[in-house]
Amino acid sequence: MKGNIVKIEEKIHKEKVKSEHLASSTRKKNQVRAIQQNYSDNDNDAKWWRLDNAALLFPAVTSKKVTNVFRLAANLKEPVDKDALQRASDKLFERLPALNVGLRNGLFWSYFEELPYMPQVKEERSYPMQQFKKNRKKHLLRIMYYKNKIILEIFHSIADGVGASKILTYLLIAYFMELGIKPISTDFDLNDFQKEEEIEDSFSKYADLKTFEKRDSEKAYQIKGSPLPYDKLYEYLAFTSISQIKEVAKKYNAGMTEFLIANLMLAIYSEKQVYGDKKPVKINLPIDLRRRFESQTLRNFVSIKYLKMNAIDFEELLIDLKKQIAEISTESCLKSINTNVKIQKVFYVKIVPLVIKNILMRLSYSWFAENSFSCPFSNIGYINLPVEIKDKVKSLEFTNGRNKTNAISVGCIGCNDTLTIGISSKIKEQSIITNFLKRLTSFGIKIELSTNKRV
Amino acid sequence: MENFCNSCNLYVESDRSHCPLCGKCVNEDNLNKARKFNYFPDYKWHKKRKNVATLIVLVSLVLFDLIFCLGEFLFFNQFNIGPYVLVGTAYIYVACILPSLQMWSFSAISFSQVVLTTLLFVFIEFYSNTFGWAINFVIPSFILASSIAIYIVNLSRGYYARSNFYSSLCCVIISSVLFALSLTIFKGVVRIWPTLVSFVVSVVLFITLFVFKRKKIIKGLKKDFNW
Ligand SMILES: [Zn+2]
Repeated sequence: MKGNIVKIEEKIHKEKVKSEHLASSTRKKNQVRAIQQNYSDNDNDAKWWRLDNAALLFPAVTSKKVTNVFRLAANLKEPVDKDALQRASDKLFERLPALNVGLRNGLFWSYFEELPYMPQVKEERSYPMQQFKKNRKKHLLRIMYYKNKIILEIFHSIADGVGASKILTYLLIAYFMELGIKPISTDFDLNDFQKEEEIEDSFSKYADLKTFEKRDSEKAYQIKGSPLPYDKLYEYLAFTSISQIKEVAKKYNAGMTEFLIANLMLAIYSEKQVYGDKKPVKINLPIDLRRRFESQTLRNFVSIKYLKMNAIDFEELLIDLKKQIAEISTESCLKSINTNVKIQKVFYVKIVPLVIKNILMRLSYSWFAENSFSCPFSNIGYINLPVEIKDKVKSLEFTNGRNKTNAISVGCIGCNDTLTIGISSKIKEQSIITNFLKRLTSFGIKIELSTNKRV
Repeated sequence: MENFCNSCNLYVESDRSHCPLCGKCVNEDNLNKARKFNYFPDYKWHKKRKNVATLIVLVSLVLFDLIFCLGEFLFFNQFNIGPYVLVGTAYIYVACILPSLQMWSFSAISFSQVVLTTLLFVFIEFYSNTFGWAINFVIPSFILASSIAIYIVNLSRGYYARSNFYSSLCCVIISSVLFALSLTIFKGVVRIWPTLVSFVVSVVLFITLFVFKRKKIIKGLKKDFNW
């Protein structure tokens, strides 16, 4: 009996020494690796979270062809301090443990499980938006830096574009606090606990399951071109001035979104004419529902609207687009939420095993979603950074990841006076991008282009 | 950003010499300068490291070979095991180290494995004549293995390349010729059963490939023959 106690004490002492040694070692990597190896299946104490309604789809349809990853980045005025960024990210994920998760498969649904280690900040050394491999021990987001840039790449199940822009803002706040800039005027308190409304599934919360919509599954024109290898992706970033674009759009009595979408549609249309394709040009416009429903969530909360190109003349097209966008109301959004949530709540769907569910989801995704738009256009909107750090950030960037059918995807984000149009392309041809940017510059808009493509 | 492209009407990064969209020269001063990427990771770093690693592995393998052969020659005054070591290291380099360093595609790895393993066996057989089944078994099993590899790559990975169609066609032709030979001229010398098995398997797999990838194969043929 006594011998046993001595043995256990010895063991505890050894563990203590070991953990102290690990904690003191500068190589945090080893520490993480050690925990990763000890982290076993029977870890029942780990916290877990449900995926929201939209997030359920992404693990099923993700492959090297559809990565479902997107990327936000902040260009600072000074080079990034790696250690400060690591400390900031550690603090952020301590505050928001629901983001510090790996994806696990349950019998009927996937779920997030908290990981006992934090994401490691790395210098970026590959093409953007690489696939997140299905591995329950790995994070579903990457925090990277490169020279002046802080990069956040995130899997779509964790958050949508606007949610991720909030996460990036929090990261920037934490980073600048580490650099000694205090106080920062913001509602976000790093020392607080994670709030329920920050990670809620707003889809289920706001769905009333009364009205439903009919899905638009009309096939749209698909941009053609010679594809790049799966691990490569071209990223074109066009930096423009918000005030300039607003001014030009105002001349046509239109908003910025309509103005950009109209130009994009015309650029795609001119390419379509070359091939003589008869399918219409359609743009996928995600609509942020947070403001409409007063939700605070960081998770997915978007509704998809397809905008169809009904006119060839620029001004007519603008009027038509304005009409189509004005048609989007809270009721119509609620309809699409209901349609999605209803499927999740059906009893027969609930009891189907995940393996079969995944196959069904993949099939329905390829039938209904994949070919029904030509190009996604995600507008994250204007990001209001706190006053203290506003002048330390030059611009923000947003780009969408690789998609199976859509060769090009466009996103934009605004900060200070810079609007960044991020175009990602999986094809070598760049006529649509050239055409789109040429159209914009023809209005007198000044564009600074930067790309990872080598000449 | 001071570089302005007149034809695209936009500014490009200041360290670029050409416009990334139209390819026109925008700044002649930058032509001979090494570029430092401001916006994207300089993946030269990656390449350099890879090249250095490949070189180190190659040099160490060659040194190992030299030392082994010289040692055998000087101390034991013979040259029996040397050739095996030479061929073995060459096999390890081409079949294992190169693919992992250069990140070959799955189909390239599987095909090179099939070819190299067969070559290795043919070498051992002809050099030492230990088993006495060179032509009888090696070529049929090579055809068998390569047609199965092509089949797996194509149907399980949803992948198709034109070269796969032609190589499986080659498998069918070689195996049928071998089978015909085993029946007629080399009766008794070339075994019937292995050649028959490889012939049947390659034909069956060729037909399955054709059935499942019909559209792509016809499209590829049209491209090749300008139909
Ligand atoms: Zn140009």
